Amino acid sequence: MNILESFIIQEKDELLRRVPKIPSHFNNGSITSAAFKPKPNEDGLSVDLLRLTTIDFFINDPNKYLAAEIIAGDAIKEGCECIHDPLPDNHAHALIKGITKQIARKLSAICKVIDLV
Amino acid sequence: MKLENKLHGLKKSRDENSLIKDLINRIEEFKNLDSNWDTYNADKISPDSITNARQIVKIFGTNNIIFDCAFPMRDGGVQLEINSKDFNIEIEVNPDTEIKLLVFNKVNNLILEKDFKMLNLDNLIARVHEYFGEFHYSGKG
Repeated sequence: MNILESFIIQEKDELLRRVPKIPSHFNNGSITSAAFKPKPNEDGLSVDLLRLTTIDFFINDPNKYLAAEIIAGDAIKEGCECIHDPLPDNHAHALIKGITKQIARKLSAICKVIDLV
Repeated sequence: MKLENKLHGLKKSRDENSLIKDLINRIEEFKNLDSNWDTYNADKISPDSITNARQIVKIFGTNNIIFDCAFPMRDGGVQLEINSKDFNIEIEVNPDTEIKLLVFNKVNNLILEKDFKMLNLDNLIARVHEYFGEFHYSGKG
């Protein structure tokens, strides 16, 4: 049982995914879908709920990483489930469940890129 | 005029060779990624995926198909991409040596998903040619 307080993710919530800068994950101005494809053994795509963290804390090292911001409603509209999944060392952790290859492609095309450098 | 055409052909050919070489070098550098390279427990890129992806880039190049870019995949594979106005193609070179062709239309709906083996690359090339014609060169550096 998870003893951490759990939040319901709203459609307007912003979900953050860290993306390495090296090697570059951009093709023609968009982040590659490869960054949004869960591994076969994963329960969903790990993200952080922005209202429970800050961009600076999330990115941690802006020389190495940028953030891809996904609006929860965009993932839900594609049939995904977004759930808060707090971890002992990361209360903002959440999962986007049900990402297919098509959804990964669509999310990569519409996500907002946040680069602090 | 003929000379100009010849010179243009030579220049384009040199550009293509340069793009292929750059892409192969980029794929080679995926070897340097340690496990967890994305901070989300990504696998180390498999040597087989790197070898096969390099071979695909070379063979497609000799068939006039130049990939736009290559990316490491979280499961240890390599993803090759071609984008055009009407279609976008992803080729997943998986660690288990399976190759998956994904074709998306211009609004990123998946319109074809098909598995191939390294032994039948000719079939893969033929399927890609169906979407991009006999020649694809993005002209991007």
